[in-house]
Amino acid sequence: MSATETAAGVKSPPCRCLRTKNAYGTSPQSAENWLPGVHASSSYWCLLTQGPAGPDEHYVHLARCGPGRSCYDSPED
Amino acid sequence: MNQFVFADCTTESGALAQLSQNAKDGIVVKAGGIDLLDRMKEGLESPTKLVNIRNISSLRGIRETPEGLHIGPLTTLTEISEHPLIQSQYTIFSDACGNAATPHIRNMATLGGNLLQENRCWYFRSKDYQCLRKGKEICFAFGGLNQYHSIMDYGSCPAVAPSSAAVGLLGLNATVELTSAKRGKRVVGIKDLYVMPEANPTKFNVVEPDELLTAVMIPKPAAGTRSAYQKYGEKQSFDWAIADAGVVLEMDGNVCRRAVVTMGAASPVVRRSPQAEAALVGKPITEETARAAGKASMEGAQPLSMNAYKVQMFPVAIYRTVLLAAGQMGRDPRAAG
Amino acid sequence: MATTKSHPAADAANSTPKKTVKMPYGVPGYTLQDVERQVPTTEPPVLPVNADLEYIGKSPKRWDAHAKVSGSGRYTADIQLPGMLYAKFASSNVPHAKVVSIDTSAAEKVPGVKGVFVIENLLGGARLLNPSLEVSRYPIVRYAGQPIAAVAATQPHIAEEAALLVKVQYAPKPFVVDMEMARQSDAPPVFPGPANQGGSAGGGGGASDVPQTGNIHGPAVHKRGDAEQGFKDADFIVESKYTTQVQVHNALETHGVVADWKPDLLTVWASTQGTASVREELASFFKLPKSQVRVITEFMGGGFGAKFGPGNPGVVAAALSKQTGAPVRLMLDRKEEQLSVGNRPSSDQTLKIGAKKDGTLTAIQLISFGTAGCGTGAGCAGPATNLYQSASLHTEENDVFINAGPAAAFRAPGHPQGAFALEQTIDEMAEKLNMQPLEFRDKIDANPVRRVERQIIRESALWKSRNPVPNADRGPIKRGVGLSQSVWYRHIEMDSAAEVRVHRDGSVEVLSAVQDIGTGIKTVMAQILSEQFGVPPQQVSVKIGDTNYPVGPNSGGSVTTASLTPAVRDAAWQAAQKFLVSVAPALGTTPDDLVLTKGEVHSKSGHMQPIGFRRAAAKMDTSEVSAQARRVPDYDPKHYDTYGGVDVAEIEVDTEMGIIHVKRFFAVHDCGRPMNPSQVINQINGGLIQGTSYALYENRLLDPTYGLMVNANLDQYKIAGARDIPQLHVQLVESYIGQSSTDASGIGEAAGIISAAAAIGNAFYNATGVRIRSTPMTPAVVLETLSKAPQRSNA
Repeated sequence: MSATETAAGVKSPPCRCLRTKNAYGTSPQSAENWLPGVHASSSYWCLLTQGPAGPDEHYVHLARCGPGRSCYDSPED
Repeated sequence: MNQFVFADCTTESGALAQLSQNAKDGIVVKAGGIDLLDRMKEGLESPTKLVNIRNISSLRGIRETPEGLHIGPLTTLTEISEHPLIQSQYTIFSDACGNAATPHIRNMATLGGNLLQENRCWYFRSKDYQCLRKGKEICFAFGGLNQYHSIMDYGSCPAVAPSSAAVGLLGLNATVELTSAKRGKRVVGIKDLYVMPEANPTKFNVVEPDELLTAVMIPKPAAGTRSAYQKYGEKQSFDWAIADAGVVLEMDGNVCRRAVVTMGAASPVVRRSPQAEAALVGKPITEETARAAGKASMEGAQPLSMNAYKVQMFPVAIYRTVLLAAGQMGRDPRAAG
Repeated sequence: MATTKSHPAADAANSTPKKTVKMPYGVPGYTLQDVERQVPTTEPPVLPVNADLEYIGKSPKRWDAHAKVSGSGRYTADIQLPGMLYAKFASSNVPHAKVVSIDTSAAEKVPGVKGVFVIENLLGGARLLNPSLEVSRYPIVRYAGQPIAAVAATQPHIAEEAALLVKVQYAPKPFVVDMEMARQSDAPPVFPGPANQGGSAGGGGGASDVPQTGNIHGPAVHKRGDAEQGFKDADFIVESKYTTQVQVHNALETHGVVADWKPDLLTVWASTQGTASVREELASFFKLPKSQVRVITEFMGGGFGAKFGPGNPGVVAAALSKQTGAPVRLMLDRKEEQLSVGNRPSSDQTLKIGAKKDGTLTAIQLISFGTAGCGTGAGCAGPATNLYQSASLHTEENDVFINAGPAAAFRAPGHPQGAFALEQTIDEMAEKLNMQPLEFRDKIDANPVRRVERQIIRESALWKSRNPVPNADRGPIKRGVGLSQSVWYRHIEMDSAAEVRVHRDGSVEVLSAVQDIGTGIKTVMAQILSEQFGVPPQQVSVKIGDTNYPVGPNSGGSVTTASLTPAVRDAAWQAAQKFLVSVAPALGTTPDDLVLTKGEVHSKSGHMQPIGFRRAAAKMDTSEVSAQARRVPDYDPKHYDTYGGVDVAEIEVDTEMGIIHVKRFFAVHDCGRPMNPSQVINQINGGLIQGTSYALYENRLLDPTYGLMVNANLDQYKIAGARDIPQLHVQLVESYIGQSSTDASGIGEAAGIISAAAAIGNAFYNATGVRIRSTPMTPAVVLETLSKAPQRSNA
């Protein structure tokens, strides 16, 4: 899963255990304008629980599975 | 482990002997198995013995008698719906059987099984709900999801009558023969076959554990009789009725001499509507009288929290079916079946 | 996650030697022209349009049709291995609880039970950065039907019986299954407050910032331009609220796997739409090298988006196989399928659009709430964002958690919901503007392919039969005709590779790990080899659905055909060139004198008479030549392509009964080059049927008092049956885009599922003069909608 940029600037990559259907496939650059819509319709799951909650019992999401969360596992380690 | 004995019977007396020798809980009659297997899979039924009557040939077939029709309970819904005499003179009954479920279910489902199936309330059908019908205190439908439930005469359980065939048979004043090895035969009218929930919530019908439904008898309709049945669901294919109507008209020229209007999906037990019938008797069948009958049928309706729409649908179902029976309107292409 | 950075392969492609080619571009009969592209020199010659091809673009019968209809095709549930055990989940029957204890002793004692596996937190070896954080041993139960443990036994009925004996002690927690109630500030929380994602202290939070308040995850805000100003600039504003229900995937084949754990290899037969995704996750979960995980999907019975990764069934079956030392089969039953493996989220949308008198859209604003159960993904702004040009856009999407099974991607995630609201609102605005639906869309949608599609619709007998005056029929049965557009996006999966082998006996085969989700990729792969070698498709061997073969794309996002077919064609082309090298000596010439076309080897110099492919193959200097190719990036990655269509529904509304009967659809769709038109039409037929079923019938019903789904079966969960399905007439628009060696695109998501409910909604308005703003459009909803209609003097 590659790092994602937003208007707010460069953020840390999401946890290596975050999964979504949209993890698969690449998109043309100019498709950026529809990404927010697609992201909000993405269902996420955690590799470790195979469910929508992480091992820490919080829900998993691109906006949540960042560093500082107790179960965060950096893809860069 | 839900292990059971499978007693395959080929004669009526053999089946009755199975039922009487072991007249205790856990012995269940299996005909087509349509409803029973669903209940077993959900864990609602864990029989110790299945008495398979499917292969009793003497209980299958349609016979014309001086009084009318004698139908074996193992006759399939397809056989009934395709029978020329039933189609022409007992149309309400062929319509009711021919529009139940799907063609493949109708090929397996028997008349007896259809009449004696248990209700389809989703609370009753779930092992997670211990409801009134299972001998507990609560009916979950009143305060829960009840969009498909009864709108009248429901007493303590608003599950609707599941059998379309019964709606047809009630209109024709049919009777059933119940046979016990010990007590012999008795004859019960269709309307008396069923038990109102307040009379005994855990009993759906009056058939005793040692009894077998051995025949269905339909009296010959009077001259000038025309009849029809239509049901409406959310879907046209493979759906339960949310509104249905059976209509039998005895015509004297242009005037209706006698009318029977029956409904299934309105109440826990199939019912006639005397109000609707009164709106037709002594009058010519017209759009106006048919509408009046439909309207009258909802007298006393008390819809639940989610099914007031059914009170709008029944009058239309009745009005259209009255005109269909009278030959004044075609079969509704949007009706289910 | 889709990335905004270009793919590394695209960068690499920039440095590869290029040649300039001319490719067909546009719609034959309308806009066809040539476009120049710079393509790698290794690419095969440009394919002409379908009319000039022998196999590609034609509709040979489905390659594996006989295997499917005869039952010889092996689906996951058909796999029988020596000593195989049958597993069954024990699942929660409460909607929200902490699991206090699990007692498996009774289950273990049942004769025939070989293993019991309890799902625990930290299963996959998770480590908590903050060990002081208290994590319960067992996951919190967040929905009824959540798997808790599984039993493996020698017979299925033993496993079923034993699963019932797993005793779970719950500490119940307050729950909420109704989205409106869940939005209240005092609603029972499905999750604790926002997870500490570290904020600035951790160098930034998650990758995008979305707040959480109570059960609401959101809003995810997206702005383009100044919507406030846009509404000020508008001459007309239309604002309405729309609601849609939860739909369950209910693929014909349920989720399931057969897992066989051996010391050196974990083999898993899976009903999956991504052999690669299952392999990746199982390897990551069990910390195995990917080379020691093999996933096989010879045949599968549908997924619709819910079959990515191994899921709980895959992980648990593999763990049970490891534990018992025997192969384990775990197939879900229909109830489990409906409760625990995904659904399409509901929506509650407030949509507002503004337009100038001339039809220019000045603003689109969408505020949406939806529930994906205890998961996320209820956003539905795709259509509002991407279907039409608007001077400004403001969307706020909110997920509302309830105690129900989590959503999963479902055929065009978010789009059927969004289109249901948007396309009716567009029609409503057209009426205010005194414009016809097609005319208004011509004004606000510049996409040249959609323009062609609208033209075809405009000229169709069905559209011409539409009375532009709503509620024109006087009787109780009212006819209506309405349309909707759809849009989907070009995604390419770069992990798409294939190998083509040519044998001395003249047989050819193609291999890829790709699975056939049901769309017919096997047939298309065969057609490509047929075009290259002149061998009929039925004589091509297609071997797919096995990770022993070159990696294939996961079938989601309408990527499979668009991603894989260029790799197949490139491999076929390269194998053909190797074949010519291999036969040239025996033919007494050099490879560059030879060309393989229409099943014959020709000499350019006239050195020899043409010789049939099979005869030539007999002269190969080795028994086999092969070539493997991977996906070359799209030729013009800066060009942004969408797929879509315009669908017209003709319906009859029985206004007395509240019953809608959809009589027919006329659907005009594009998907690049249709590789096999009949299979494309099959997908659109399926999409229209699924969309009709969504519009009228399907609904997951949760009992608010006890939190259980009351219709977790196919009796009361209502899916369109034979008589409910309209006549379907699909017309394909060939749309060449000059992007790859096959120029294929995708169709799965744009195929009718997006537009059906919206088109039915617009037809309903045309029939009755009343807007229907809620699905499913049951008699209850229709009668309620009609009862609120203003009384018309002439009605």
